[in-house]
Amino acid sequence: MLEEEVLIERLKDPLTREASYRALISTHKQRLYWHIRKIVMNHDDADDVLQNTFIKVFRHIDGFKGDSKLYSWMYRIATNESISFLNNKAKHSHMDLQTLQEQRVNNLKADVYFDGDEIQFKLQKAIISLPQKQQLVFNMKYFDDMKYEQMSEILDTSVGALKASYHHARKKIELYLLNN
Amino acid sequence: MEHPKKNILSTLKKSGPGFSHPEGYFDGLEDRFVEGLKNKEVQQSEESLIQGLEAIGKSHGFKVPDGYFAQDNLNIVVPRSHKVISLVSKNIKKWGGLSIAASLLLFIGLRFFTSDNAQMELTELSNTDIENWIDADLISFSSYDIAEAYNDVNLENEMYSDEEIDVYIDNIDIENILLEN
Repeated sequence: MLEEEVLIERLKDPLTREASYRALISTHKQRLYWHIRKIVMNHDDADDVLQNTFIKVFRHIDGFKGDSKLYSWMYRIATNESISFLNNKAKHSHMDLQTLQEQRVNNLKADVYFDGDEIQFKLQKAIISLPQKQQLVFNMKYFDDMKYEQMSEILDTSVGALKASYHHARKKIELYLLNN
Repeated sequence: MEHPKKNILSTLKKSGPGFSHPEGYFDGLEDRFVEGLKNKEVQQSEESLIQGLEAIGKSHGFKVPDGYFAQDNLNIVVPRSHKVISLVSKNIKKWGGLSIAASLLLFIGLRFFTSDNAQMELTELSNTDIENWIDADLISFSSYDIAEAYNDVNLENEMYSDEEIDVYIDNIDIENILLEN
Protein backbone atom coordinates (compact mmCIF):
# COMPACT_ATOMS: atom_id res chain seq x y z
CA MET A 1 0.00 0.00 0.00
CA LEU A 2 2.86 2.30 0.86
CA GLU A 3 4.50 1.57 -2.47
CA GLU A 4 1.27 2.44 -4.26
CA GLU A 5 0.99 5.74 -2.39
CA VAL A 6 4.56 6.62 -3.28
CA LEU A 7 3.93 5.75 -6.92
CA ILE A 8 0.83 7.96 -7.03
CA GLU A 9 2.74 10.88 -5.49
CA ARG A 10 5.52 10.44 -8.02
CA LEU A 11 2.99 10.37 -10.87
CA LYS A 12 1.72 13.74 -9.72
CA ASP A 13 5.19 15.26 -9.48
CA PRO A 14 6.38 16.71 -12.85
CA LEU A 15 9.98 15.74 -12.05
CA THR A 16 9.26 12.06 -11.50
CA ARG A 17 6.10 11.48 -13.44
CA GLU A 18 7.61 10.08 -16.65
CA ALA A 19 9.69 7.48 -14.82
CA SER A 20 6.70 6.60 -12.63
CA TYR A 21 4.49 6.34 -15.68
CA ARG A 22 6.93 3.85 -17.20
CA ALA A 23 6.93 1.86 -13.96
CA LEU A 24 3.14 1.84 -13.90
CA ILE A 25 3.00 0.54 -17.50
CA SER A 26 5.62 -2.14 -16.78
CA THR A 27 3.75 -3.40 -13.74
CA HIS A 28 0.26 -3.59 -15.20
CA LYS A 29 0.62 -3.89 -18.99
CA GLN A 30 0.18 -7.64 -19.28
CA ARG A 31 -2.80 -8.16 -17.02
CA LEU A 32 -4.61 -5.13 -18.40
CA TYR A 33 -3.83 -6.18 -21.97
CA TRP A 34 -5.38 -9.61 -21.49
CA HIS A 35 -8.40 -8.16 -19.75
CA ILE A 36 -8.97 -5.76 -22.65
CA ARG A 37 -8.16 -8.37 -25.27
CA LYS A 38 -10.88 -10.71 -24.00
CA ILE A 39 -13.43 -7.92 -24.41
CA VAL A 40 -12.40 -6.47 -27.80
CA MET A 41 -10.93 -9.76 -29.17
CA ASN A 42 -8.65 -8.20 -31.79
CA HIS A 43 -4.98 -7.54 -30.94
CA ASP A 44 -4.65 -4.16 -32.66
CA ASP A 45 -7.78 -2.87 -30.99
CA ALA A 46 -6.59 -4.19 -27.65
CA ASP A 47 -3.32 -2.32 -28.16
CA ASP A 48 -5.20 0.94 -28.88
CA VAL A 49 -7.49 0.52 -25.91
CA LEU A 50 -4.58 -0.34 -23.62
CA GLN A 51 -2.74 2.81 -24.66
CA ASN A 52 -5.86 4.92 -24.12
CA THR A 53 -6.31 3.31 -20.73
CA PHE A 54 -2.81 4.33 -19.63
CA ILE A 55 -3.30 7.83 -20.99
CA LYS A 56 -6.53 8.17 -19.01
CA VAL A 57 -4.88 6.81 -15.89
CA PHE A 58 -2.09 9.34 -16.27
CA ARG A 59 -4.41 12.26 -16.87
CA HIS A 60 -6.82 11.45 -14.08
CA ILE A 61 -4.35 10.36 -11.45
CA ASP A 62 -5.02 13.62 -9.57
CA GLY A 63 -8.64 12.54 -9.21
CA PHE A 64 -7.75 9.14 -7.81
CA LYS A 65 -9.00 9.26 -4.23
CA GLY A 66 -7.55 6.01 -2.99
CA ASP A 67 -10.97 4.54 -2.12
CA SER A 68 -9.95 1.44 -4.00
CA LYS A 69 -6.60 0.00 -4.98
CA LEU A 70 -4.85 1.67 -7.87
CA TYR A 71 -4.93 -1.58 -9.79
CA SER A 72 -8.72 -1.93 -9.36
CA TRP A 73 -9.15 1.67 -10.48
CA MET A 74 -7.04 1.02 -13.59
CA TYR A 75 -8.96 -2.17 -14.28
CA ARG A 76 -12.20 -0.21 -14.14
CA ILE A 77 -10.85 2.36 -16.59
CA ALA A 78 -9.72 -0.44 -18.91
CA THR A 79 -13.17 -2.06 -18.72
CA ASN A 80 -14.96 1.21 -19.48
CA GLU A 81 -12.56 2.02 -22.32
CA SER A 82 -13.09 -1.43 -23.87
CA ILE A 83 -16.87 -1.23 -23.70
CA SER A 84 -16.87 2.35 -25.03
CA PHE A 85 -14.63 1.21 -27.85
CA LEU A 86 -17.05 -1.56 -28.83
CA ASN A 87 -20.06 0.73 -28.55
CA ASN A 88 -18.40 3.31 -30.80
CA LYS A 89 -17.49 0.64 -33.33
CA ALA A 90 -21.07 -0.61 -33.33
CA LYS A 91 -22.40 2.91 -33.73
CA HIS A 92 -20.10 3.67 -36.67
CA SER A 93 -21.01 0.37 -38.31
CA HIS A 94 -24.74 0.99 -37.76
CA MET A 95 -25.22 -2.27 -35.92
CA ASP A 96 -26.08 -3.28 -32.37
CA LEU A 97 -23.41 -4.43 -29.93
CA GLN A 98 -24.48 -8.07 -30.09
CA THR A 99 -24.14 -8.17 -33.91
CA LEU A 100 -20.75 -6.48 -33.72
CA GLN A 101 -19.48 -9.00 -31.18
CA GLU A 102 -20.73 -11.91 -33.30
CA GLN A 103 -18.88 -10.43 -36.25
CA ARG A 104 -15.73 -10.11 -34.18
CA VAL A 105 -15.89 -13.69 -32.97
CA ASN A 106 -16.40 -14.95 -36.53
CA ASN A 107 -13.33 -12.94 -37.59
CA LEU A 108 -11.24 -14.94 -35.09
CA LYS A 109 -11.09 -17.86 -37.53
CA ALA A 110 -9.01 -15.76 -39.89
CA ASP A 111 -7.07 -13.97 -37.13
CA VAL A 112 -3.38 -14.88 -37.03
CA TYR A 113 -3.36 -14.01 -33.34
CA PHE A 114 -6.04 -16.51 -32.40
CA ASP A 115 -4.55 -19.94 -31.78
CA GLY A 116 -7.63 -21.52 -30.31
CA ASP A 117 -9.15 -24.73 -31.59
CA GLU A 118 -12.79 -25.30 -32.48
CA ILE A 119 -13.95 -25.70 -28.88
CA GLN A 120 -12.14 -22.52 -27.80
CA PHE A 121 -13.78 -20.72 -30.71
CA LYS A 122 -17.16 -22.04 -29.54
CA LEU A 123 -16.39 -20.88 -26.02
CA GLN A 124 -15.88 -17.35 -27.34
CA LYS A 125 -19.21 -17.61 -29.18
CA ALA A 126 -20.86 -18.79 -25.96
CA ILE A 127 -19.37 -15.87 -23.98
CA ILE A 128 -20.71 -13.23 -26.34
CA SER A 129 -24.18 -14.76 -26.12
CA LEU A 130 -24.27 -13.59 -22.48
CA PRO A 131 -25.41 -10.16 -21.31
CA GLN A 132 -22.52 -7.65 -21.19
CA LYS A 133 -22.07 -7.70 -17.41
CA GLN A 134 -22.08 -11.50 -17.28
CA GLN A 135 -19.45 -11.58 -20.02
CA LEU A 136 -17.20 -9.42 -17.87
CA VAL A 137 -17.82 -11.43 -14.73
CA PHE A 138 -17.21 -14.72 -16.51
CA ASN A 139 -13.96 -13.56 -18.13
CA MET A 140 -12.59 -12.10 -14.90
CA LYS A 141 -13.43 -15.11 -12.80
CA TYR A 142 -12.97 -17.99 -15.21
CA PHE A 143 -9.80 -16.90 -17.01
CA ASP A 144 -8.18 -14.49 -14.53
CA ASP A 145 -9.23 -16.12 -11.25
CA MET A 146 -9.96 -12.73 -9.84
CA LYS A 147 -11.31 -12.54 -6.32
CA TYR A 148 -14.93 -11.47 -5.95
CA GLU A 149 -13.88 -8.64 -3.63
CA GLN A 150 -11.68 -7.12 -6.29
CA MET A 151 -14.31 -7.66 -8.97
CA SER A 152 -16.74 -5.88 -6.67
CA GLU A 153 -14.44 -2.83 -6.60
CA ILE A 154 -14.00 -2.83 -10.35
CA LEU A 155 -17.59 -3.45 -11.41
CA ASP A 156 -19.18 -1.62 -8.49
CA THR A 157 -21.40 -4.62 -7.77
CA SER A 158 -21.91 -6.57 -4.55
CA VAL A 159 -20.02 -9.82 -4.03
CA GLY A 160 -23.29 -11.75 -3.74
CA ALA A 161 -24.58 -10.41 -7.05
CA LEU A 162 -21.27 -11.25 -8.71
CA LYS A 163 -21.35 -14.82 -7.42
CA ALA A 164 -24.89 -15.25 -8.74
CA SER A 165 -23.92 -13.66 -12.01
CA TYR A 166 -20.95 -15.97 -12.48
CA HIS A 167 -23.04 -19.03 -11.58
CA HIS A 168 -25.66 -18.12 -14.22
CA ALA A 169 -22.99 -17.32 -16.82
CA ARG A 170 -21.26 -20.63 -16.28
CA LYS A 171 -24.51 -22.62 -16.58
CA LYS A 172 -25.48 -20.82 -19.78
CA ILE A 173 -22.08 -21.43 -21.33
CA GLU A 174 -22.09 -25.11 -20.45
CA LEU A 175 -25.53 -25.41 -21.98
CA TYR A 176 -24.41 -23.56 -25.10
CA LEU A 177 -21.38 -25.81 -25.51
CA LEU A 178 -23.45 -28.95 -25.00
CA ASN A 179 -25.98 -27.87 -27.61
CA ASN A 180 -23.56 -26.60 -30.24
CA MET B 1 -8.71 -32.05 -30.21
CA GLU B 2 -11.89 -33.48 -28.69
CA HIS B 3 -13.04 -32.19 -25.33
CA PRO B 4 -15.38 -34.20 -23.11
CA LYS B 5 -18.79 -32.56 -23.09
CA LYS B 6 -19.22 -32.98 -19.34
CA ASN B 7 -17.26 -30.55 -17.15
CA ILE B 8 -16.07 -29.02 -20.33
CA LEU B 9 -15.32 -25.68 -18.70
CA SER B 10 -12.97 -27.28 -16.20
CA THR B 11 -11.04 -28.84 -19.05
CA LEU B 12 -11.05 -25.69 -21.19
CA LYS B 13 -9.77 -23.47 -18.42
CA LYS B 14 -6.25 -24.86 -18.84
CA SER B 15 -6.19 -23.95 -22.53
CA GLY B 16 -7.08 -20.31 -21.94
CA PRO B 17 -9.06 -18.15 -24.37
CA GLY B 18 -6.83 -18.97 -27.35
CA PHE B 19 -5.60 -15.45 -28.00
CA SER B 20 -1.98 -14.62 -28.81
CA HIS B 21 -0.09 -11.46 -29.74
CA PRO B 22 2.86 -10.50 -31.96
CA GLU B 23 6.18 -11.76 -30.67
CA GLY B 24 7.88 -9.27 -28.38
CA TYR B 25 4.76 -7.15 -28.19
CA PHE B 26 5.30 -6.24 -24.56
CA ASP B 27 8.97 -5.29 -25.08
CA GLY B 28 9.40 -1.57 -25.40
CA LEU B 29 5.71 -0.92 -24.81
CA GLU B 30 6.65 1.70 -22.20
CA ASP B 31 8.64 3.77 -24.73
CA ARG B 32 5.84 3.64 -27.28
CA PHE B 33 3.14 4.59 -24.78
CA VAL B 34 5.19 7.41 -23.25
CA GLU B 35 5.80 8.75 -26.77
CA GLY B 36 2.08 8.40 -27.49
CA LEU B 37 1.24 10.32 -24.35
CA LYS B 38 3.62 13.14 -25.28
CA ASN B 39 2.11 13.36 -28.77
CA LYS B 40 -1.37 13.49 -27.29
CA GLU B 41 -0.30 16.27 -24.94
CA VAL B 42 1.21 18.29 -27.80
CA GLN B 43 -1.94 17.76 -29.83
CA GLN B 44 -4.09 18.80 -26.89
CA SER B 45 -2.04 21.91 -26.17
CA GLU B 46 -2.35 22.91 -29.83
CA GLU B 47 -6.08 22.38 -29.68
CA SER B 48 -6.41 24.40 -26.49
CA LEU B 49 -4.28 27.16 -28.06
CA ILE B 50 -6.63 27.29 -31.04
CA GLN B 51 -9.63 27.35 -28.72
CA GLY B 52 -7.97 30.13 -26.72
CA LEU B 53 -7.38 32.18 -29.86
CA GLU B 54 -10.97 31.65 -30.93
CA ALA B 55 -12.16 32.82 -27.53
CA ILE B 56 -9.93 35.92 -27.74
CA GLY B 57 -11.21 36.63 -31.23
CA LYS B 58 -14.75 36.79 -29.95
CA SER B 59 -14.04 39.48 -27.32
CA HIS B 60 -12.69 42.89 -28.40
CA GLY B 61 -10.61 43.35 -25.25
CA PHE B 62 -11.56 47.01 -24.68
CA LYS B 63 -12.73 48.14 -21.29
CA VAL B 64 -14.63 51.17 -20.03
CA PRO B 65 -14.34 52.86 -16.63
CA ASP B 66 -16.62 51.49 -13.93
CA GLY B 67 -20.09 52.95 -14.09
CA TYR B 68 -19.42 54.54 -17.48
CA PHE B 69 -22.75 53.46 -18.82
CA ALA B 70 -24.62 54.85 -15.82
CA GLN B 71 -27.00 57.53 -17.11
CA ASP B 72 -25.46 60.44 -15.07
CA ASN B 73 -22.07 60.04 -16.72
CA LEU B 74 -23.22 59.91 -20.30
CA ASN B 75 -24.26 63.61 -20.68
CA ILE B 76 -26.74 62.68 -23.32
CA VAL B 77 -29.97 64.66 -23.34
CA VAL B 78 -32.84 62.29 -23.75
CA PRO B 79 -36.18 63.89 -24.68
CA ARG B 80 -38.76 63.41 -21.97
CA SER B 81 -41.36 62.22 -24.36
CA HIS B 82 -40.53 60.74 -27.62
CA LYS B 83 -42.59 59.02 -30.14
CA VAL B 84 -41.48 55.58 -31.12
CA ILE B 85 -41.53 55.36 -34.86
CA SER B 86 -41.58 52.00 -36.43
CA LEU B 87 -38.87 51.89 -39.08
CA VAL B 88 -40.54 49.00 -40.74
CA SER B 89 -43.90 50.68 -41.26
CA LYS B 90 -42.18 53.92 -42.35
CA ASN B 91 -40.11 52.13 -44.92
CA ILE B 92 -43.10 50.20 -46.14
CA LYS B 93 -44.99 53.47 -46.64
CA LYS B 94 -42.06 55.17 -48.37
CA TRP B 95 -41.06 52.33 -50.67
CA GLY B 96 -44.63 51.23 -51.15
CA GLY B 97 -45.56 54.67 -52.49
CA LEU B 98 -42.53 54.75 -54.75
CA SER B 99 -43.28 51.28 -56.01
CA ILE B 100 -46.83 52.23 -56.91
CA ALA B 101 -45.62 55.38 -58.70
CA ALA B 102 -42.96 53.42 -60.60
CA SER B 103 -45.48 50.79 -61.60
CA LEU B 104 -47.86 53.44 -62.91
CA LEU B 105 -45.09 55.16 -64.89
CA LEU B 106 -43.97 51.85 -66.33
CA PHE B 107 -47.51 50.95 -67.27
CA ILE B 108 -48.11 54.33 -68.99
CA GLY B 109 -44.71 54.24 -70.66
CA LEU B 110 -45.27 50.77 -72.05
CA ARG B 111 -48.69 51.76 -73.28
CA PHE B 112 -47.23 54.90 -74.89
CA PHE B 113 -44.29 53.27 -76.69
CA THR B 114 -45.99 50.04 -77.71
CA SER B 115 -49.35 51.37 -78.88
CA ASP B 116 -50.15 51.90 -82.60
CA ASN B 117 -50.40 55.62 -82.00
CA ALA B 118 -46.86 55.93 -80.63
CA GLN B 119 -45.30 57.03 -83.95
CA MET B 120 -47.93 59.65 -84.50
CA GLU B 121 -47.55 61.07 -81.02
CA LEU B 122 -43.74 61.26 -81.33
CA THR B 123 -44.09 63.38 -84.46
CA GLU B 124 -46.17 65.79 -82.46
CA LEU B 125 -43.19 66.62 -80.23
CA SER B 126 -41.68 70.00 -80.95
CA ASN B 127 -38.16 70.30 -82.33
CA THR B 128 -37.14 72.27 -79.26
CA ASP B 129 -38.18 69.42 -77.00
CA ILE B 130 -36.16 66.96 -79.05
CA GLU B 131 -33.10 69.29 -79.07
CA ASN B 132 -33.34 69.74 -75.32
CA TRP B 133 -33.61 66.05 -74.93
CA ILE B 134 -30.46 65.49 -76.99
CA ASP B 135 -28.59 68.39 -75.31
CA ALA B 136 -29.42 66.91 -71.93
CA ASP B 137 -27.54 63.87 -73.12
CA LEU B 138 -30.58 61.66 -72.78
CA ILE B 139 -29.71 60.15 -76.10
CA SER B 140 -26.39 59.72 -77.81
CA PHE B 141 -25.58 58.24 -81.18
CA SER B 142 -22.15 57.63 -82.53
CA SER B 143 -21.37 58.51 -86.13
CA TYR B 144 -21.54 54.82 -86.90
CA ASP B 145 -25.07 54.57 -85.46
CA ILE B 146 -26.16 57.48 -87.66
CA ALA B 147 -24.51 56.01 -90.77
CA GLU B 148 -26.21 52.71 -90.03
CA ALA B 149 -29.60 54.36 -89.61
CA TYR B 150 -29.27 56.38 -92.85
CA ASN B 151 -27.43 53.89 -95.02
CA ASP B 152 -29.65 54.79 -97.97
CA VAL B 153 -28.43 58.41 -97.94
CA ASN B 154 -25.21 59.39 -99.65
CA LEU B 155 -23.73 61.62 -96.98
CA GLU B 156 -20.62 62.55 -98.88
CA ASN B 157 -22.50 64.10 -101.77
CA GLU B 158 -25.53 65.53 -100.12
CA MET B 159 -24.46 67.05 -96.84
CA TYR B 160 -21.35 69.14 -97.49
CA SER B 161 -19.46 70.19 -100.61
CA ASP B 162 -15.66 69.91 -100.77
CA GLU B 163 -15.37 73.70 -100.59
CA GLU B 164 -17.45 73.86 -97.45
CA ILE B 165 -15.27 71.20 -95.83
CA ASP B 166 -12.08 73.08 -96.77
CA VAL B 167 -13.43 76.27 -95.23
CA TYR B 168 -14.42 74.35 -92.09
CA ILE B 169 -10.94 72.88 -91.76
CA ASP B 170 -9.26 76.23 -92.32
CA ASN B 171 -11.31 77.87 -89.58
CA ILE B 172 -11.22 75.02 -87.14
CA ASP B 173 -9.84 75.75 -83.69
CA ILE B 174 -8.03 72.62 -82.58
CA GLU B 175 -7.81 73.73 -78.97
CA ASN B 176 -11.58 74.15 -78.76
CA ILE B 177 -12.15 70.68 -80.18
CA LEU B 178 -9.73 69.20 -77.69
CA LEU B 179 -11.44 71.06 -74.87
CA GLU B 180 -14.88 69.97 -75.99
CA ASN B 181 -13.91 66.37 -76.33
